[in-house]
Amino acid sequence: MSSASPIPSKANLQGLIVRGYTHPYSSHLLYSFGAQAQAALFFKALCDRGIQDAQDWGAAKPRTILNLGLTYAGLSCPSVLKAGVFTAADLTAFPATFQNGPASDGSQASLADVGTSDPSQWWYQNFQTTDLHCIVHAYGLTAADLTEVVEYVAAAARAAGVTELFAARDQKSRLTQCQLPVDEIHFGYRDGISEPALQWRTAGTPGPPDQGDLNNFLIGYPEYALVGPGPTSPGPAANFAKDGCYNAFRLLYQDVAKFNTLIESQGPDKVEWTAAKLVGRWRNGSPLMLSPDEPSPATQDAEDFLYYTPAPSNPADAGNTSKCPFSAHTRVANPRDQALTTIEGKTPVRIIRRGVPYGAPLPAGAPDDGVDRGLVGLFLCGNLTSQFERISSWMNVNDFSPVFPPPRSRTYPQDALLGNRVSSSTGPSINTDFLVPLPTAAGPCPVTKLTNLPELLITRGAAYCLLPSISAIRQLAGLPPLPALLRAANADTQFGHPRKPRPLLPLENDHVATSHY
Amino acid sequence: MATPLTLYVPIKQDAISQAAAQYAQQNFVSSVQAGLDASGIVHYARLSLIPNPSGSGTLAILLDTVFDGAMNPYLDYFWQNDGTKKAFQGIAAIALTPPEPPVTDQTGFENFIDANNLNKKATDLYQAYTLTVKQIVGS
Repeated sequence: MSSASPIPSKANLQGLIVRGYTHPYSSHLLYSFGAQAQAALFFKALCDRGIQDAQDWGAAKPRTILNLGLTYAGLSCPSVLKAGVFTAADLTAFPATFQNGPASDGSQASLADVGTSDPSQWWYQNFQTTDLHCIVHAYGLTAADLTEVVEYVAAAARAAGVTELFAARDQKSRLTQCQLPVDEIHFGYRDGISEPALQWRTAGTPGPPDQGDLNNFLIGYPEYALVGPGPTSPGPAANFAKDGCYNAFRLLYQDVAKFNTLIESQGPDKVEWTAAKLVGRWRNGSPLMLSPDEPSPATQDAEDFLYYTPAPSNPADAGNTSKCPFSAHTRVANPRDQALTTIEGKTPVRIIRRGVPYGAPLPAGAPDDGVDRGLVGLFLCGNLTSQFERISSWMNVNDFSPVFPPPRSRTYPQDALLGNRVSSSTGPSINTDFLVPLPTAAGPCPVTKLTNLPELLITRGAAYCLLPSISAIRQLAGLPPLPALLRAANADTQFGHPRKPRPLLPLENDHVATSHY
Repeated sequence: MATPLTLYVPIKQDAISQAAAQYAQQNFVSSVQAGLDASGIVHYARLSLIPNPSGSGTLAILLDTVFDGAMNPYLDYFWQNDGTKKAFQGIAAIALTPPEPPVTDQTGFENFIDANNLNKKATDLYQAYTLTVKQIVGS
C-alpha cells in the first residue's frame, strides 16, 4: 500500500482529516464486532456506498458523506483479523496509547476524567468502552439525506451481524447533531475558527516545520513531522496505518445552565464580557486580542494574531493579559507565541477539531431541564499523546508556560471553560479561581477574580480511533486496493492554505512575567 | 502528587551485556543530568542493578524516577534528548527479551516504556510534599 510519492494522494485520505464538512446534519454511529460479525461484509457495504475522500468536490457538494474510524479493540477483533491484512502480533507496533485507549491509567493522567466523568460511568454504562470497535460518521445536507444514509449503514450492519451500540441514556438514541447555527456550540460560541493550516511540507517549503503542517497528522511521513505519528517501524501495521490519522473521540456533556449562571455572575451588563474572557473570543468569534472591547464582524473569523506582538503600551502587562487572560480557553488550547516551558517544546502542538453539538438546546433563560446536550468531539491528531493528551493536560493544569504563576505559588489555574476543577492524583495542586486582569495605563493591572469556577463538562464517553486510508478500508473489505494512479500523488497536491509569515518566536526568558495570570 | 516510573528490564547474561549494565549504572547521572535538569519536571531518577539470586552478575536493570504530571505526553522530550535517549536505548539493547517494535524511533520508545513500567497505576507512592520541581527549584 505504500506510495512511492512523498506527497499523499487526496484520493486515499478520508476527507474529514483535511476539511471540515459544513453539512448541517450528522450522526455518529457506534458499532461492535461480536462473535458472529462479518466485518468485511460491513466494510464492503460502506465502500460500495463510498467513503468520502479528500479530493475537492468543487460545486458538487455531496448530498451524503460517510467516514469511519476503528479502535484498537476493533482492529484486534477476530472478524477483522480474518481479512489477513495484519496479525494480532503485528498490531503491537501501534503506539501504546492507541492500544491502551483513553480509559487507561496512562491516558487518564492527562485527561483526568474523574467523578461523574470517570471511565466507569461512560456511555451511561450501556456498554464497555472495549466493546466499541467502529464509529461511522454520517453526514447529510438535509434531514432526509441523513436519514437515508443512516438507514443504509444500519441495514449494512444488520446484514453483516454487526451490533450497534447506543450511548444515550434511553439506550436507543443515536448521537445526532442538533440544529444550532453552523459552527455554534451549546454555550453560544462560534466554534472551529482556529484550525491548523494543514499545508503539506516538502523540501522546497520555505521556513521551519510548523506544528500546523499536515505532516504532523498523517501517519507514514516522518521526514517533516514534529510529533512522530506512529506506527513508525516498517511492517504490516505501518503499511496499514499509512495515510491514516487518529481521532480522539470524546462525548462531552455541557452544563449550559451552570454556564449561564457563571457568565451572569459579574452582573447583567457583563454577561458577554465574562463569556469572552472565559474563552478569549467573543461569542461571535472575535478574538479579544484584536477586539478587546466589543465583538466586531470584521474580526469574527480572525485567526492571525499573537499574544506578545505587538507589545502592549503597559510594559507590566507583557502578555497582554488585560486583553486576554492566560487561562482563557483558546489561549490555553493554542498559546501561539506564548513562551513554553522547556519540556513542552518550542512551539505549541495543534489538533484538528471536527466536532458537532448534540442534544436539544436549552431555551434562553430556562433553568436546567435535565436534557443531555453537549459536543460530539472529534479531535484529530497524528500522535495521541504528544498532541491531544498534551493539550488536555494543559487544560487541566496551566503549568505549560513559564509566565504562569510564580514559583512560590502552590497551585496552578485551569482552563477557564474546560478545566475539571479537581487536582489530579498525579499532578500538582490546582485552584479554581480565574483571574481577569483589567486594562490600566501603567503598572500592575487590577484584577477581577471569578472564584470557584464550576465544572461545566462531563465526559460521557471516549474512544481512540484510527481513521484508516481508503485503501486500508478496502483491504479490510476484501476489495482490491485503489488503482496505483489514485494512490500515488495526483495532480491535486495542494493541501491547506498558506500561512502568513510570523515573527520568530522570542526565547523563553525574553518574556516578562506579569504579576497576574 | 508526582508520577512514578519504575522501569524493570531483565537483561541478557552474556559478558558484554553485563558489562554494559555496569557501565550504564556508573555513568547514569552524568549521561542524563543535562536533559533531566532542563526538563524541569523530574524530582529524581536512579538506575539500579538487581543482582542474580546466585549473587553473581546482574539479573535486571531498575530505572526508578518520579516526575510531575502525566508521563505520556512528555516521552517525546526524553526521546529527543541525546542523553536520555542513549540511556533508554542502552537498556533496551541488552534486554533479555528484545523489545518489539525495536527502540529505534518514538513509537518503539513509548511502547518499550509502557511494556516495562511496573507502576501504570501508582497507588504505592509516598510523597511528603505536593510542590512541583518548578516550584521547588524556582523558590
